[in-house]
Amino acid sequence: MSRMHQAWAEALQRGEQRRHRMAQRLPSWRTRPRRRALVALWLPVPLALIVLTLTLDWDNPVTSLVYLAVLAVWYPFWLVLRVLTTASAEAIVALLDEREVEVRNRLSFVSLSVLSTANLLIVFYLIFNHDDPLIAIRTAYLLIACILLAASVPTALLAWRMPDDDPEDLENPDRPADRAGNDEGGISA
Amino acid sequence: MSPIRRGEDQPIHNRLRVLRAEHGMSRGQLAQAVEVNPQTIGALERGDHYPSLDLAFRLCEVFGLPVEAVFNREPFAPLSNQIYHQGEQS
Repeated sequence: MSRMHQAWAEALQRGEQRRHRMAQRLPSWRTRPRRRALVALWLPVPLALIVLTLTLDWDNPVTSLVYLAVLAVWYPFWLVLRVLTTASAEAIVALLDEREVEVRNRLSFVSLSVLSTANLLIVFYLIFNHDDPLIAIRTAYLLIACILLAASVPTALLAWRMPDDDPEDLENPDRPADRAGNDEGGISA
Repeated sequence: MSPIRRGEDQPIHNRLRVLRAEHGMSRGQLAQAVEVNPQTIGALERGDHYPSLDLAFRLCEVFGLPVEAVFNREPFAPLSNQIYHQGEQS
């Protein structure tokens, strides 16, 4: 095995271990109502960033600090949502199985749509406000807000859709099954 | 979820949960055997996800059964009923 292949295999193993650890974190938060509550709390943050960018006076040096403060609120929300979704919406394909890849692809499409629409709106904003002397700085911050929104949409959507974690999914595979299913029939799809 | 593009969504029923119980396997163990995440086994058992042909073959290999014994378009009758009625007929 070449050094590159070995390094890749090690990186994948580390990634799998990281996801496994993530799946064990915040067990009491891994329920649908809590995930949804967190998404509902997260959503106003990127929207606030967009509104602030469009309304604040960018000549004032405090403005950037206000923007950074809101940005600082966005980051922990996104981190917790990533933990609660085991980063399935953002992990590389090699770390996911076929179901997760299917879900990730659907979410990525939504993210791409959000980003494309936001970019188009920003282009129109630039065209209609080309004589604004602060348009460059305002658009730069607007782009950051839109990129952050699009980047976190897959994780937020997944968190919204995910059902409660099933404790049986978190059982240690190295331990023999301690509960035998008693359904005799097949499972309806 | 069915992978078809349009048209009538036809269900795929499976017997994974009962086979897993029969073999004394946890979801994690079955997931490890077919190299997927345990949540995917749960999704298959609930019918939230239809497996690819590759995954279906892998699952059947674990139980040493043909595909039609594990997956079917028609709902499976309970195994206990089948065995009981077989005994009655013979």
